[in-house]
Amino acid sequence: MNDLHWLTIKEASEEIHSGTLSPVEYTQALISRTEQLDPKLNAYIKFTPERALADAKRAEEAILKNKSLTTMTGIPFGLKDIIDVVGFETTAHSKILIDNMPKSNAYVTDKLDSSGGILMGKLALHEFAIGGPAFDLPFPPARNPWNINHHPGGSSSGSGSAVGSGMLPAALGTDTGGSVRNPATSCGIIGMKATYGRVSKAGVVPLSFSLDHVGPMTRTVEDNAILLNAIAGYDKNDPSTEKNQILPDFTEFLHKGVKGLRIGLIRHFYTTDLKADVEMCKAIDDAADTFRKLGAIVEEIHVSPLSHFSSCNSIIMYCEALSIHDQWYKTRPEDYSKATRTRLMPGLFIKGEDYVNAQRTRTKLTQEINNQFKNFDLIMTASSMETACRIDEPETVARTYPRQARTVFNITGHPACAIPTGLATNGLPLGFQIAGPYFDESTIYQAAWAYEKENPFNNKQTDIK
Amino acid sequence: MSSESEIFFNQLKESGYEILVDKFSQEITSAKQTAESLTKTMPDSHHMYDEPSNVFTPNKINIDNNE
Repeated sequence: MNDLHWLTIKEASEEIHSGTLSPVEYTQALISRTEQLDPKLNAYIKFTPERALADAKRAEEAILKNKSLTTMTGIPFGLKDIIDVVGFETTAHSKILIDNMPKSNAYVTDKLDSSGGILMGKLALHEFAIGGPAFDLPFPPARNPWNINHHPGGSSSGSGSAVGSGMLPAALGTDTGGSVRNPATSCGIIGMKATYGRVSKAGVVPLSFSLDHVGPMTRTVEDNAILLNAIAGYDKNDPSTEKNQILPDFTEFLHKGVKGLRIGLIRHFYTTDLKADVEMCKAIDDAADTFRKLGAIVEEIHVSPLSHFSSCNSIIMYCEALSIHDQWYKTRPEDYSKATRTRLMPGLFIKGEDYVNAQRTRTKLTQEINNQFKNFDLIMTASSMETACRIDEPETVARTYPRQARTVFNITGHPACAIPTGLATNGLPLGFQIAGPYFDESTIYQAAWAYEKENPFNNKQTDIK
Repeated sequence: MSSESEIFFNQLKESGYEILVDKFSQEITSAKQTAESLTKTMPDSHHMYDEPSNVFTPNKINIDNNE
């Protein structure tokens, strides 16, 4: 058997169901791993081993009684600390919400709870999912498991760090401008931002109402599909969730292969609009060649410049975020980290007409991407333009963070998934992104699974001790 | 402080951001520049009724797929 902490959800679930692995034993192994690593990684804001062991015992009893088991039964997971769990503060990694005790669970918390998952704790983030990594907050910033001197991406930084380091097989993050896919790329894991409306945000601290998504983060594509199975669906408490969505088994078509799939490659995002560094550029081009080798038809396509998507995302996000933070911003601005305060501030100067124009532009850009899906099954492009930089160099962080192509799919609402390709010469993960038509996460997983089989990243494990 | 800066700082104070202006005026100046450069990088849009002028709403994105 593998070290227990490196088991995938699928592997652990099979062993749990067959009785060769006890959820208590598995949870205990991850508790030990966390006690060993988290003092270096700071992935957790609140680590809850007592609750985890109690949940694990309940899962064990359910298995012994053969009660309705799911693939998530007995599987530990963590939640970004903007997702509500009764009994634990939802701090959003901020002094502002340090005593914020939720009255009910978030929808996704209930879904994972009822599927038999085991909550291990609340995970670090960039303050309010926007400001970080920051050192002037009540909790330290999470670090990259491949090199603790580097950031793990954000804003779901703790989720990326915990999954990438083998402290957890599964975590949830949120994604407003790439905050699931950035830590996924930075930490060498899979991060899916499903279609806007696929997963409920009820019980999640908002950043930007029309751009926010909740998304699964795992070490393999199959695990990601399993986790999305557990959290997707209509929720009457989140009016943005799609009532008529068809809920497939996202694992069903994983093995279908990519032969004949048409993939549009937006190369100008990372060669012209922004220039990815040489290794990242090669990693994405090589991934396109891998798909060609596997029988997909990959053709270069052109859409509006990346800056149109990213400016549109920023204008909408700044305005919507300020509308949420306005009262705290007026009365307690010194209680934010400098990073958050300065990132929220442009919202003060964006005029009503700019917001309306950004929304009109959003509609046009969305139609443009939608039109591409008339000719292509999937779109692939860059996620980040370089590997994660050092965490203690704020100017480099500020320069490199916007160098990404993820906001495109927050603007349009299409599902998009970050997939690792390998390690750069500096030892940090490289990766790319695949997007698909609305509510077609299955085809993304199908392609991502085929790529992963050909180029398995999950056999590369951090040697952090 | 230039008179232009004084005007917008006063406007912010009148809107309730007194603490922000008193403690973080340098950050505000920089944020104003960020906002201005952002709006400049948006594509030109001319306003016609034959273009999509609707404000994005979550339900509209699903029309092609679900109806």
